[in-house]
Amino acid sequence: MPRAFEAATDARWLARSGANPDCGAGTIPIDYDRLLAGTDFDPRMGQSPAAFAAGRSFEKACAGVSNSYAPLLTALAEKGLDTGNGGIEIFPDSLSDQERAQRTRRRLRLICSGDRSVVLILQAVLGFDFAGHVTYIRPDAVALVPVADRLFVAEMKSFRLRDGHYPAGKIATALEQTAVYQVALRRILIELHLDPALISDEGVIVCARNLGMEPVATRHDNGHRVATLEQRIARAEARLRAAPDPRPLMAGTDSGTSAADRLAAFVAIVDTYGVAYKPSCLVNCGAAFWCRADAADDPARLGNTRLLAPAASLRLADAWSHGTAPAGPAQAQVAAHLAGVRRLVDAARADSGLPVPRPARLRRAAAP
Amino acid sequence: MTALRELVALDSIRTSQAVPVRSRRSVVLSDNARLIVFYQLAGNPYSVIGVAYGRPGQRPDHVVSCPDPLDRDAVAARLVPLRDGLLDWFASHRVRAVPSPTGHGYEAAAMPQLVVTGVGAVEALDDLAYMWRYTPSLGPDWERLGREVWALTDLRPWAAQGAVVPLAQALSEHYDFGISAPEAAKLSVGVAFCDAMSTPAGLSPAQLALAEEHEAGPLGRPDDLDAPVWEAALARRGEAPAVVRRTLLETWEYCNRAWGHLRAIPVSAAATAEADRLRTTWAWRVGADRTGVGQVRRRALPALASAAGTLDQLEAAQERFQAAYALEDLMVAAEAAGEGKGARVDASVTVTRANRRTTITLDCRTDQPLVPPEGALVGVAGTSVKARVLAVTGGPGAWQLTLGVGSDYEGSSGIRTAEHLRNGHYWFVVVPEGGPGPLPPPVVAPPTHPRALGGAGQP
Amino acid sequence: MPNPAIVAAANASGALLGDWLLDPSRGGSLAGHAHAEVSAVAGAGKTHHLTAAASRAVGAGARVLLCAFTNEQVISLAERLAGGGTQVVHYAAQREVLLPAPAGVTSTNNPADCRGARAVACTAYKAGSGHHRHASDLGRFDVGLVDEAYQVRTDRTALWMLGLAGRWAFVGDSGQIEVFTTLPSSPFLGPSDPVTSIVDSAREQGADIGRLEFDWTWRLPAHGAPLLAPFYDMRVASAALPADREMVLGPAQAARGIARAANRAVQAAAGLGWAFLELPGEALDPADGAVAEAVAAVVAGALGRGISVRCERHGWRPVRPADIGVAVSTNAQRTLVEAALRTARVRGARVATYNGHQGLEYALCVLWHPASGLGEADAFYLDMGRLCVGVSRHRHAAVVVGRHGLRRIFADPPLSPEAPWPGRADRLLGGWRAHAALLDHIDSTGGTIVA
Repeated sequence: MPRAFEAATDARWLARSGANPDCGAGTIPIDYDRLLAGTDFDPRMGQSPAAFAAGRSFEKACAGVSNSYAPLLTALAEKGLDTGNGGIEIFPDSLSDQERAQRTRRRLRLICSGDRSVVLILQAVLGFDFAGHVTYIRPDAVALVPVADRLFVAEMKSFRLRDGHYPAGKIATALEQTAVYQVALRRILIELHLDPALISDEGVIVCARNLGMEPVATRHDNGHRVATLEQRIARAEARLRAAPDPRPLMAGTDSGTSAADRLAAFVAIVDTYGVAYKPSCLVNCGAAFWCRADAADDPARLGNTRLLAPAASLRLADAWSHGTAPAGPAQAQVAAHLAGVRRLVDAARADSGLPVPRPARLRRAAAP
Repeated sequence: MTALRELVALDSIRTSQAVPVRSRRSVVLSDNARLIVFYQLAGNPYSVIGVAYGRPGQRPDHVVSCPDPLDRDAVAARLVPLRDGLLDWFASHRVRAVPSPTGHGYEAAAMPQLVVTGVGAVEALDDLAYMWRYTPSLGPDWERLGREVWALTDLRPWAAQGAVVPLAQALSEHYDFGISAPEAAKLSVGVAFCDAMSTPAGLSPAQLALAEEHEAGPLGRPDDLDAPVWEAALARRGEAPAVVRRTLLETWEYCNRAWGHLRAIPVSAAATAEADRLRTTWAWRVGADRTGVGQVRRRALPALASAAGTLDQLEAAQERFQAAYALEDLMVAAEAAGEGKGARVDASVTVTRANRRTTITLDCRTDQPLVPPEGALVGVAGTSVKARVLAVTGGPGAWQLTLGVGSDYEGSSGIRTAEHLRNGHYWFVVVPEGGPGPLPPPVVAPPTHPRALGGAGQP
Repeated sequence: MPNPAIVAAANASGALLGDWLLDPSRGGSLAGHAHAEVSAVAGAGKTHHLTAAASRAVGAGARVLLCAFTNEQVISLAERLAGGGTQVVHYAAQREVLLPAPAGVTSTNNPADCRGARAVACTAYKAGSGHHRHASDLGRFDVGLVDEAYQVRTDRTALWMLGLAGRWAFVGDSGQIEVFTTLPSSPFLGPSDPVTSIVDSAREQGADIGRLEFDWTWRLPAHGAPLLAPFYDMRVASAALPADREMVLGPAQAARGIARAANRAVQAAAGLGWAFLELPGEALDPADGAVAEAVAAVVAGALGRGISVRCERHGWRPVRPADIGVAVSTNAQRTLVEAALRTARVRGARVATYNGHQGLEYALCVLWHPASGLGEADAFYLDMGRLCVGVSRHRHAAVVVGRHGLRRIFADPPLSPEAPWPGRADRLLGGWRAHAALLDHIDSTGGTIVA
């Protein structure tokens, strides 16, 4: 795979494994943002420097004066995670990933055997094998904290928790990443012949309290997320292993390739692996605009539908709703339901004086 | 998505235009409303890049850009004229004390209405109000503004609330655009489809792409807005980049058009009724807040007993509004019917009088896919009649229902009207069973819930 | 005969509640606590133990208040209490008053009748509104018991109710459907969230509550109990031994098409305890007429061929329509099933939503699979409580009916887009896992019948 377009199988990527299981192209670790940059379907997903800076500010606040991490440890202790006295190990990022991964494993082994000389690990690196793709996960702003006989994963996130408000969606996203780290850590423990249950099922999120930068921790039962993530990852790995090798399709494509040629390479990938567009792709995948255009007649582009989905085609569903008989008896029930709802809508429009939309029939959609 | 919306999506896709799914508006729009358009830096909920403020449908009274969005004092200094305008406007909604059983009641002739781009902006405004309220260094005027804004944003869980109107969601409640819900949450997209209703060919793909690129707030695109603003702030240029003002004015234009499209729909009586009740709720809150006399000022964390009471009222309001709206707007009734919670029927009416009791029976036929179940209580649209579904026979596409109105049928009402119903077509929808009213909070906290009335651990 | 070890454990545990009511320093794990929580698995006989404990308390001179969520549950409490020899006042709304009242029960709408009564049974609502309006009539109780406490939401009437006694015992099945709100979400998420049961909110408020677990079931047959594990934080054992239960089928009537497949499913369920009647095709819509017909075919087939069941409580008896429970997820499905049963000329089987079956028991259950017709995993349909109610109603067998397309929902786990309040488990993911485990179990035991 050309380096330029290889997607990092990092925590964010892994957290979304199997989120769209029907999409073949989504299984392969290709960076579609970069592949389609400059084409008509350029996703233009930028990063906000302000958001990035806010994250860094918060981490500094958690680190406190002279990097003692007292604020973070206090926030954890407040919620019953009292590490007691012990040192902090921060793996310097001047070291290679491999080196940091090795040191992480060494420290994990020590902690799991009861050593509490270090009670906070930062900038750990976790080696992870995804269907033969070995990657190093660099948990950013994540602390590994041994308490009692378990190891907890605590993520520092700069969003705010204020009295009376609970950002359930943001916490869910954070916990998805925490789950990746929990899975990765358990795999490492298994390799080290240690008990994976030593990694706690809980996910700890540390965010900013009220108006300032003071950290506050929340403890979450992440067991179901971890278990289902493991299943998703396993299934995604199986799909990737079963899929044909994408390298021949991407041969000759590098960062200097023209936009037109890169688009052609992308279309070849779609033809080989298939795609399955749904609205959530717009925030998750760089290929979303292309797929959305391709899905012009596909009910899935509207979201989760009950009556339109079985028709698999918007034009067909429209025809059914106007009384065209479906091909088979299996669809007869849905066609009848659609026609029945259309009669209701027509009656309601007539009875309340709303106009009937024109034209009356769906035109053939143009291909992207 | 309901079955009706799935169906109407086909219509909007065919026409490339917005297609109405309501014939009556679900929210009251005030002639004295104020529109606030603002932008913030991502990840920084208390920052302000710029604000435009004024009356919807007109040009803004104030357009302010903040060169240093993270400096709360500097931002506050720049927004003083805006703050004062808002405070004057809030103050013009006078509240007066009235006698009440608990001693301190309030009433108001009108409730303020703030209009913003979408639900994201409502939450962001709530965050800003929180910051203004609890940052003493900003001064008492900002604290007062925080409390007044909070009194409105606090009302956002209420049905048909007209306290803070998120324009994008209001549009997508009344129209379908043939796109997914997250896409429809973008104000400029909804407005584009609505504008296209006056164009025979509808919205072209190029026009749609343009609409998608526009900002709506409160967060802007990283490359187009966040990055230049951040860069200028870091470089301490002392002046915000031109893109801020340009963006504020563009978004303002979209808001105006959205406002126009919404105003074009006649308001429902159901929404007007809820707005009247909510005005009283607001008056009680704000009255106590402004004078310091009356119910305890809202804390960030309400006591359990208080929350429980409010929850009961929220649920009752939602039920009441949904039922009234469905009985008034036939598109809502049709949507319910598509889900089997209502029906359009051909009815023949029989009036029986025996032993000084009148009973009205409606024998109904319909060809729709699903109908309400036996035992349901239904209201007949456009009337005050409530009937009990006595029997349901037949099957999908060919149902027969028997409805009864009379003292034998619990919950039924409107006998006088029902007596005069003629054979013909009727719409009916399932309505909630009447229930007993809520209780006031207990005087003493129960032994199992020592802090139910507030106390140790509550702020 | 039922497992003697479990019988002994059940009797011992069951008595602990009564011990604690009489003397707060006794009661095993309840000892020394201000209040009590009894978390019982479905069919553990909690109502029996609750009323037995209440009887003992009344006998020892205490004034006892018994509350439950619905009036049917209250009537059941009153009847059991009276049946055990304790006089009880059933305080109810006008139209719920029992006429005639069973012996030992004074069923009344008049709060004055509660004055001095040693045992009063009423709904949580009646207790709360009674305390508010007729405090002097109701008076104060020494101890209050709430049955199905996990279904009582922390609203104002509940808070008033809880002011009637100084000590409370909450008894309930924690696996069943949770309290909910009709709003899209609770605007009060957090420590003061009223969308919680009175048990959970009491703990949240720091009340001192002891905990007792009833981890056995009298209702489910031996092969049904292990399936309850995902819903409770405890291992569940069935008191019934495999030899205690038997289901014998009469000859199947000649049938074709769906009726034939329905017969095979009933056959499988009789032997294995579980069957899944799988209709071909993709999920279309939860309100699926073909599934409704298949459900009706199962009921008609079971009644048509005649089924006899034997259990340690009732001995041999024939299965009549009222012994069959049909559970669906929505009212629309209920309407379709009732129509299909009419067409099949079957009357008397009870068709209700899963909610409506809570607390009830049947010989045979027919369950419309909650996920049949779903396009993707959905928190309502996959809710753990809904499935838990579904799998815990039968004494003998259960047949699940649904489309093949539902397997797609369980092929890949969903993502849960909203995190619950800290400390609470994720119900979408938990529900999905419980469902996947059930399907797995039926498949692997050979209970899947493809129509």
